[in-house]
Amino acid sequence: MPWPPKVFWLGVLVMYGYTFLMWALEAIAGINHLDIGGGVLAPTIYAGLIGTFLIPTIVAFIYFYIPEKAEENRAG
Amino acid sequence: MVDPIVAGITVLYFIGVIAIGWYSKQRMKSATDYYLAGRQIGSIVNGLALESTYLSPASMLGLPAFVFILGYPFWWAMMAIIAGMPLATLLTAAALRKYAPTSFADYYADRYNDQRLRWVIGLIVVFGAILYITLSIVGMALFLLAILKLPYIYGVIIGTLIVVFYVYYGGMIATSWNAAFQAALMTVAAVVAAIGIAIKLGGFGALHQAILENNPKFFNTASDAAPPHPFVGTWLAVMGWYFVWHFGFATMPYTVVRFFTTMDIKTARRSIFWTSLFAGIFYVALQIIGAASKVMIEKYHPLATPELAAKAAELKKPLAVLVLASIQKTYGVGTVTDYSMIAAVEALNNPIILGILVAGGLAIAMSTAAGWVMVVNTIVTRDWFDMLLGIKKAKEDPVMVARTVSVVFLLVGMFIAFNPPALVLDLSGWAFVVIIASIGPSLILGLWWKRANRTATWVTAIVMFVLHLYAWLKAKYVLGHHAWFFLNDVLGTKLVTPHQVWAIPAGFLLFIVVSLLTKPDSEEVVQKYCVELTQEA
Repeated sequence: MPWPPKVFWLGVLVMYGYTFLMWALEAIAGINHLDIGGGVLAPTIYAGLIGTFLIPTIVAFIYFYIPEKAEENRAG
Repeated sequence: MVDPIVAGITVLYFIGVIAIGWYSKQRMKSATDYYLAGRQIGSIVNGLALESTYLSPASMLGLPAFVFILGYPFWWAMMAIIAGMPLATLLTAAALRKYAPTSFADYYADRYNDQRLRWVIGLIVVFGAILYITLSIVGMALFLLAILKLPYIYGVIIGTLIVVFYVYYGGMIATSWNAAFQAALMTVAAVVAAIGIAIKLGGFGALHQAILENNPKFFNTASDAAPPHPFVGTWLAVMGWYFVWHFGFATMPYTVVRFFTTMDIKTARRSIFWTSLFAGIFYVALQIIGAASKVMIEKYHPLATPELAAKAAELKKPLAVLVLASIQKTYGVGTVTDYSMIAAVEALNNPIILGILVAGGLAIAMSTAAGWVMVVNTIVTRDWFDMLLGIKKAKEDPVMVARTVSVVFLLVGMFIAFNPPALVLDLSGWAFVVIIASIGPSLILGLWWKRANRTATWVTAIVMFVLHLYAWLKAKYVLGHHAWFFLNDVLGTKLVTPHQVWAIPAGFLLFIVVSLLTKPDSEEVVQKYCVELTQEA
């Protein structure tokens, strides 16, 4: 049976894990109201910069980098 | 009154688009060049083209409008759209590039060994395409309104003519290179506008405080006592919004066909990295613009006069809503909440930023309309007219027939855009869920599951298309909004399931059950289009 490579599941775990962790922290600890300094609220960092930009970019990077490395290793 | 700086920047943009289109046309030698850019598109250009094709006015106008309406929890839906991009890398993009078909329907016809599938797959894609072409024309009309201050209806006509010209003379080479240029432009436009808004409000800290002062519930979530809106009032609703668009990048025809245009599998995978990078920057900027829209309009928009503020207080309505209503009345705009993002930037009173934004907005609308038109004219001209009906003209002169088909679809979109049935993001969500639920399972599981079979493809496509269409229309026109679960009136519940998003897992479940209960496809076909495509893909 074909099956997406392990690195695919790692990326899925990172993206969904991060989302559900942040939602849990919002529900339990109210981090959405946290002022991280200078009046900037935490959601801009964890949902905006990290969630919307950084995490998808990192996952997209490992999704091309690891298969390429594996192909290079197979090629010798 | 037309601002010469805004108009000048827009004219510069059009000169750039025409120059790129003209250069591309010189290189176009065959029908393959027209359909698939000769499969010579590199990773950065293809990544940028993917960004501008995938992200439409539903992103640029619709997402900030929904942040304006639903508040911060909607940011997670935006995060999910970008997070869905990498999923496509290993789920569909690499395998489909290895297979390298011409049309979106090819995979279904080959994998399930049934050429008649081109009819049903094509029909569902055509439905989604009409919604998307419509929302792109609406977007163009709204951006043209920001420049020309003309009635909305003229914007719709002029916008359609521009896209007709663009698609007619370009083909996929023009749309690939132009789309890359447009992606860069729209990303820069959103970032410049977000920075401009932050500066106007006194910096990022002051921006957050201004948002809170204007709307104290904005950053609340489903766990807070007063969520910003009932449609994000439960975590189930927040999850619903999260998944509406999430799987679209891996399954929607207008992105899937771009995987076909890359030079090789390596380029296809790398393209998505560049898409995620640029789209991520673009979306963070849109999150900021959407969050600040209400406060910007109410504090700085020229139509937010003290008289209107007094009227808003009397009617107990937000001033921003009355400003938008005033724009709607003056220019005859169909769905004016879509204008909130432009209105927020108008409030900056900076014609250079508005000019860049309008050029970026026209870019995103044109590239999306063109991308969808290319998908449907490939399906109609090649799959239906040539392969299924054997029409001689479609075989002898496919480019001319495809161009005619493009014009027909753009005209249909234009007529719907005169009085759009919903906000641009509503049209987008509708198209996404119906396509993902009805033909997504057979695409993804067809690649990764040997038991996926032809019967399940037919059953899922027909049942989920009809069921979702009924559910969406009932929720919208009987219950009042597509976000209500369509059986709320029967069950006595108040469940929020945006765009009837339950249809996505239901579609996958139906596909799996029917596949298990019916005869498997031949071993030879499964080996060729499932096992071999996903090996080391």
